[in-house]
Amino acid sequence: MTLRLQNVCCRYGGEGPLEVTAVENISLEISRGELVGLVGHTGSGKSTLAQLICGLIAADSGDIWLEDLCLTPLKKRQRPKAIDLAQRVGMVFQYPEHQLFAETVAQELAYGPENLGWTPEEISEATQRLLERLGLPPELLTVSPYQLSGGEKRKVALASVLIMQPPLLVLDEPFVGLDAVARQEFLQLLLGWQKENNSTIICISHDIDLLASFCQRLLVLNRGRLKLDAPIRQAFNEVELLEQCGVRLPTARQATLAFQAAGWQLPTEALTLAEAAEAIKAAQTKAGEQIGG
Amino acid sequence: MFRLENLVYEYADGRRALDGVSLQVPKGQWLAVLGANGSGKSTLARHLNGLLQPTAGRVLVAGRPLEEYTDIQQLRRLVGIVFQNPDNQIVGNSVEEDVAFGLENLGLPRPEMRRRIGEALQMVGLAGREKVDPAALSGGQKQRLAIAGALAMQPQALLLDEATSMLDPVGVAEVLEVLRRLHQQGLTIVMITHNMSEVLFCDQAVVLAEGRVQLPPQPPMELFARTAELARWHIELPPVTQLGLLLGVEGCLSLPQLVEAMKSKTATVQR
Amino acid sequence: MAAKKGGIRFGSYYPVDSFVHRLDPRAKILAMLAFMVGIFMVNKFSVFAVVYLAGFVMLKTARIPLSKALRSVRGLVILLLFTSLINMFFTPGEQVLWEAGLLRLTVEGLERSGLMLLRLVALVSFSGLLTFTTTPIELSDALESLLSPLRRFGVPVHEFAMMMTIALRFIPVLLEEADKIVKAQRSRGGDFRSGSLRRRLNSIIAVVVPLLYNALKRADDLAIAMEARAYVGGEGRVSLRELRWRAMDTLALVVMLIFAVCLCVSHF
Repeated sequence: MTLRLQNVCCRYGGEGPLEVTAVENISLEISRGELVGLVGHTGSGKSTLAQLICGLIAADSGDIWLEDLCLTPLKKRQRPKAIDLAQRVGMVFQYPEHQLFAETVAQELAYGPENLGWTPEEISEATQRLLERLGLPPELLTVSPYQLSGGEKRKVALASVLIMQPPLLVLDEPFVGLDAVARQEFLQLLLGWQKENNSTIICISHDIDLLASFCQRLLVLNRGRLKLDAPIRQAFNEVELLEQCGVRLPTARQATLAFQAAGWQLPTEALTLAEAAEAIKAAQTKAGEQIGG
Repeated sequence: MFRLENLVYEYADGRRALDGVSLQVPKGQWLAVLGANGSGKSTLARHLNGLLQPTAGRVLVAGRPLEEYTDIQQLRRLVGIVFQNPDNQIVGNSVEEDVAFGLENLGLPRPEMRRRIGEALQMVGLAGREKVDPAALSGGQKQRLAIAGALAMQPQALLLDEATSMLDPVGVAEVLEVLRRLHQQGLTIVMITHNMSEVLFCDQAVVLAEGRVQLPPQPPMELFARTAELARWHIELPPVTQLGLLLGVEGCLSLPQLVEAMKSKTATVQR
Repeated sequence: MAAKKGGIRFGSYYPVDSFVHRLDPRAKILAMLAFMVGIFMVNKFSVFAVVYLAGFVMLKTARIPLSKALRSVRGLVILLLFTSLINMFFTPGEQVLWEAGLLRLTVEGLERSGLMLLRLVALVSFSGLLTFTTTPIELSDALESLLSPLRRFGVPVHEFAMMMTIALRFIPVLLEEADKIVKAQRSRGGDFRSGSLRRRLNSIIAVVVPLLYNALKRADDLAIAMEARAYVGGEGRVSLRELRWRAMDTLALVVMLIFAVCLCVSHF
């Protein structure tokens, strides 16, 4: 699935609490299977962009294409239907409470596929496969989603979108409020599924350390404009630009830079703590030799 | 300020949220209560201003047992609380009306209310925003407004029940900054969180899990060094501390500190 | 007129400063009641000329553009047309102008339908004198104060006013939430505009259930938060907002009462 945006603008739409932040003149292309992080401070327009991509709000001008489906037709009547959208793109919101509604987890999972017109056999088969994939016990299916713990609710909400196997998955702050263990677990489930389906993932998050650990590409928005679109390792070289946009560097990168500033010789490319530790240890040996020599 | 003696709280179904917690919070202390989801830390907070009654054990607030506060308003004045969800604790239709809510309940004269509202908003950095609709505030501003609402009651202690968990990093920093100022002015603060990074400014931190105190109150620096135990109770270490561990340095809180530690380590190895 | 960021305006409060805006909302409610009764009693075209003249002068004083006052009428066009047509053709009368089967157009019918039209338009457009100049919160305070004598008969007046305040506070929050929920379900293919009836119904349930669940959760949280801030009901509570009755209010109310009495007298 290729996602293509060309000169997309969305100005202030809606009023009061439904108002959306504007985005201006955004062009980008994302190909199938990419893992993309989308960052920017609050009010930068990242949620607006995510919803535009999912066809949940309409652009004022510009073109958005999901492979062969145009989200921005000239005539309002030709706008894609919910079903056409749901086959191509899934969106996971921050709070599972915004979508859990069914009496049992099984019904919750079946809602999307039913809308897409799957047969009951297809649905139950997909449910089994997904539960296995996500490592959730089958007993869960008969439980009410409202009785689950916070972390489980998140997983079920995620599963209810994954089951439709969207080629493109957009997540808006999926990790907020999860503790460290739950967050890693959630991420691993997501990535495992992604690998199997070769789906594209666009993930909005403030947790830059986490994004750095799994994304391949970073998009930085500031005041509705796309300020940076680069492979993630290079993206963090733009220290000044990121600072202007209110995006901090991953701890790993900050650490290598700090050691460099202290006079150690080491590459400053690190994205994860493990990489940083590796680089610092190597530099330590070198520094040690110098002192020793 | 607070003294818990063998506090037990049982749900209606017999499960124990708190299973014998004893704890003391001296006046003016900033205490962080750390614990993963379901550790009982929110239940604990709700005992400190009488929102919950203990099943067994005793709670003393300002030297008096909870049950001696016959006038519940007196207890509410003494201990303010800020909750997790900013949207679910703002009552007023404007900033000043929300701060006024508690004062209105106490039936204070209006000039006194105005004075206290002004002071409280000043304290949290929202002065000049009196007439603003709370819906127009950011998450961090909403939580600061909630703090102002509690401060206007002129409490001796402030409880924060995961008050930062729904905020973005900017919002978290805003709230912590306000707390730092209040702490300097001598307010007792009990802050419930599951994030170690927020604990840096605190005097003491205690770890709660499975309804019990697992690691007694101690300065954050000491607590940070007990990495194995923290991991066991699902307490998240700040990234810098984690990196320090990978490099064999324990309890490291900032990058300059880590750089220094590594430098001296290298020098020692060579010697 | 675009709402300011994050805020949403209920009713139709028009935020300018004017003599009418500054009046005590209780005075405005009472004066408006008197004016409405007066308008109901008017049954002569000449008197309506006076009513409209007075109304326009008052709108001018309140600095409300005429177009804004008349806009409220627009929504009622169909109702107005319908009532005037019924009045026109079904009023019994002597001077027949035109007749076809059951339908008879008489001079009396024309007159009556004209009066009814003037009456309804006046009621609708001049009611803006209250709603355009008074915020919902002021209205709620004024009603609480005016109805407070009913407390003696066990009517929970304070509780109603508190409900009103909280509703006003939470409507934008719930609107935003409803929007999120609709979007979340839409991205799962939920669509209540197409598909079979069963599917559409299911899609509505998928929005209503989370909305209700979250609203109840909020109510629960809010109750605890209010309790924690020493809320124990209306007893002993002093509102920061103060209604102040001044000489101006008495004057305005008296003038309006006299005017309304005159209107009533003109009926006979």
